[in-house]
Amino acid sequence: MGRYFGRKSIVYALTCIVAVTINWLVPRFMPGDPVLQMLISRGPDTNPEQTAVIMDYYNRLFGFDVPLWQQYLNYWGALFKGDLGVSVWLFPTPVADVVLRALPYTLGLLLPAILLSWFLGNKVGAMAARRKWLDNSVLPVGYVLTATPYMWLAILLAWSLGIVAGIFPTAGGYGFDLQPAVSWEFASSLAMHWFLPFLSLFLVAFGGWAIGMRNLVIYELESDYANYLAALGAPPRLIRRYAFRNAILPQVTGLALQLGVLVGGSILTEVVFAYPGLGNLVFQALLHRDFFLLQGVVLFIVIGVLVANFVIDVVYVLVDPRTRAGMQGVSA
Amino acid sequence: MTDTRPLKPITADARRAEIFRLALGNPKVIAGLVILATLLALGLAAPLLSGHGPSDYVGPRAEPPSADFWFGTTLFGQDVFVQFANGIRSTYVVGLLAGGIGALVGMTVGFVAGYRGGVVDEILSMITNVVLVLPAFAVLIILAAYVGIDSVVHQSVFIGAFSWPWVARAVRAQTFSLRSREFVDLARLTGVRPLTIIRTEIGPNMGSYLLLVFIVLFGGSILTAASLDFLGLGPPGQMSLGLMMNQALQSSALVLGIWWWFLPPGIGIVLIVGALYVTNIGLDDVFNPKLRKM
Amino acid sequence: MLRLNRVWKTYRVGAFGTRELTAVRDVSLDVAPGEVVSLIGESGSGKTTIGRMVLRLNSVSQGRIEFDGTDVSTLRGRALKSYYRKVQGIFQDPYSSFNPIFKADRVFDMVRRQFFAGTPNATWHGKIEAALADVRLDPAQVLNKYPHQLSGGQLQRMLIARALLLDIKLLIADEIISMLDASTRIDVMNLLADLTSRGVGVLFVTHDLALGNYLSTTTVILRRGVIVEMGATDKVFANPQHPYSTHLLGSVPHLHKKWSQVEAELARHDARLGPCGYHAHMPGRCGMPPHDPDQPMLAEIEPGHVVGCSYDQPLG
Ligand SMILES: Nc1ncnc2c1ncn2[C@@H]1O[C@H](COP(=O)(O)OP(=O)(O)OP(=O)(O)O)[C@@H](O)[C@H]1O
Ligand SMILES: [Mg+2]
Repeated sequence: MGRYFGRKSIVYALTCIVAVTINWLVPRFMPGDPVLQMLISRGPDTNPEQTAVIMDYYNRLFGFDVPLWQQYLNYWGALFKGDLGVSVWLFPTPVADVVLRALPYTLGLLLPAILLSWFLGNKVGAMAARRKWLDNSVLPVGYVLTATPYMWLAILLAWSLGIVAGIFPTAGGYGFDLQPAVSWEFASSLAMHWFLPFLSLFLVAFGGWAIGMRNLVIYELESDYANYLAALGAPPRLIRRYAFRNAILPQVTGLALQLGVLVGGSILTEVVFAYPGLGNLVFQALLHRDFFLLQGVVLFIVIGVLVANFVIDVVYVLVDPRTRAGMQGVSA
Repeated sequence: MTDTRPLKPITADARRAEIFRLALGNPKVIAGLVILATLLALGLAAPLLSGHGPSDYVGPRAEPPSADFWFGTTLFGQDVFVQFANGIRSTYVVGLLAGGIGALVGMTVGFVAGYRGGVVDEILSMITNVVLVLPAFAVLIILAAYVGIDSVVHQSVFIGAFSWPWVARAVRAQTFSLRSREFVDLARLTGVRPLTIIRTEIGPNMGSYLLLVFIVLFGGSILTAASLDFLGLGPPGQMSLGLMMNQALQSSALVLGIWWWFLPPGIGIVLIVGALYVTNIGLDDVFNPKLRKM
Repeated sequence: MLRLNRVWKTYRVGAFGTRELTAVRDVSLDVAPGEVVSLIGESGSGKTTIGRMVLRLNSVSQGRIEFDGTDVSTLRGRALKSYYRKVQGIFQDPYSSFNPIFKADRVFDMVRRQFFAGTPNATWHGKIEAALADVRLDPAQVLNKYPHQLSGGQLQRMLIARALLLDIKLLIADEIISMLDASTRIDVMNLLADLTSRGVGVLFVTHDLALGNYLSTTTVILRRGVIVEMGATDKVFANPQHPYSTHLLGSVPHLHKKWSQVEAELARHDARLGPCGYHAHMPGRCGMPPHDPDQPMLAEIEPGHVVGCSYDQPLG
């Protein structure tokens, strides 16, 4: 087991280093240096003091006054101190602060959407695997949902339930006329603004889980051991339970693999609803050509996904008896 | 080099014909292919459809669908149908290219890792796992923002460069089990080179699987490309379904009720990707008849 | 012609090859032209591994395999191809020796493409028919068929025919008889005898002692990757020295005897007896690897008959 985690840790550490290095490397070695372009293009009318602060950070991380390896190490050093630079768009707020302020919104969307879609998708998929009538509706709906781009479903919901039906607001994290406060009014505004982006994320993910589970359960029910159990006269309920248990493990792996896609989906959904999370920050950073902010957010997302992946890996090992037993063996 | 020629006509002709017959008798395959072919025809015909380009201002502003403008016009008076047809066209291009690149890289890595084994396998598997856990979309955003995407080909290369790891994993596992089969040893005893063995002995045994893999990559690449386009990170000057949604959203088409602007691009993507998935299930039924009972 | 000189094979298993499994340890043997050397041993004793190393399908961990004086592990490209022209193998499992999605006679076409690219069609077909006749196969019955349409015996004989297409000097035959029925068995055995009379050497891997006895000139008895006894077949069969060989040869009629019993008896034997056949001829204490690493693992107890220590060498 120790070796298994050792191996996994190497992969994650390596991925982390690769991600940070890409993040450092790409702007540094781009012809024309887009970051410098960004700073120069700010023009003479901007606050010279502001430009000085940004140039200072830029010089430390990208400047030519220290050798390359020093720049690279500086980057890591700054990272460990949580220093992601200063946002150009929201000057003089540090990027880390901007990210932390947006984070609760994204987590509030993603966590419920991921967990609920996973649980319900697996439930419905397993049910569809043994009820023809349900299967006939779950399967096509599931495939249509997985073929739907996140942003388009978001647009569709915003338009139909938001603008045409007028039930839900379609932009922002809470009413424009409100200030964050612990009050009923604010909480209900928050919930109303949250619902559509959540629903949109939930639906696309749900389709994928339901189909995946349905196929896995059918595969398990047709396996030799299920036939063997049936031949022994085991009650169908018992067989279904075994099938479900075996099918849930690949779905746990699937959760880890889909995290990146789901986070990407939340970026797109937040953009449609102008929801004040990390995704919208990405979009704003792109619009305002705020490269420090863009890099900070993306790096944050990448590391967040890696951590979540690692957690899922640990959970997987804890729930799967086979990995526990087989880890010492040949890992071909 | 005698062994770089394809093998003599001793291929599985009969089997292939049988599979072909089954595939054409499968309603899912037929339905999927009909949708795909229809949209492909529309995409191919896009440049011939009208005298104007997708971004030209040719009509009245924000006009609903009419005989002149089948899908209506945008807020700025551009022809939505022409935009749609051009978007479909670039959707196919990016899907085929990025899916092809992803499949090629994934298969190469998987074949080499599975066939060579040992240290080569350890290194390739490590790389595969690293790229696998890297959230591809986030990295693509950074790359697209800095490096810039100047053409559909460029975009496809980026997307393909991050979509291959699961293919490599699956192909590696299958190659691993096929490599230890004795027909591979027999080919080695006949002096056949490793690359030829992969191509003529191992590859054909996974032919149907590789086709399914390509179809899934095709669909996935389309969704990724549309997402990048939607964020404004697509190739500049290139009309695409994602860009249509971006422009519609940016121009408040939702609030203004210009539904004919933002509905078609989504429908187009759902149709293409959905048709790909349906074809995929149909082909899966054909290749793995065990599931056909259901 | 073929010489194995203190050959070891260690498989790396587990993640990053962290564990080792020694399948063959310090094996030396020779195969001369026209000679049949039978390699006898229980399942997992490393017989197939030895054959595969000779065929260059597995690498050698330590030691040297020489064919006509050249180290086979150095062969590359052209030289390797001409090695395969002379040295061929037939595997244990005929079903998995054919690619299931292609017709079975593709194995012949492969040989033609690699070795006889310039041969005219008529000559080639004549050659195939002759080879098939040698293994008593009717071309009409086996050509143009998929592997699943043919029986194990037919497939096995097609593999032999394939080897006959080349000008082989050495044949590695891994359990080729077990798939065959009694009458074809005789045919194939006669074929092998015919091959040896043409000067072909055969490394004949088998579980079957009677077959080994019938066919071979030299017998090698292998246990857990180690040669325990080796010599001219008549001497080994008439006068087995190692307790393992005694039990192996003695156990032929007692089919009811389980291997676990044999092992248990061996252990008891080890505990009971004094110095073994090996140590009667060699200095040193039983059960210990020789102090001098150059000291041979086998002692000659009579001309052309060698035996190893009867005590379990500490493995690992
Ligand atoms: N590719 C491999 N990787 C790891 N271990 C292997 C490999 N091939 C064989 N072994 C191991 O080496 C040992 C010897 O195997 P080998 O196939 O040579 O035995 P054998 O004498 O041919 O047995 P059988 O009579 O059953 O064919 C066995 O313990 C086997 O598990
Ligand atoms: Mg064997």
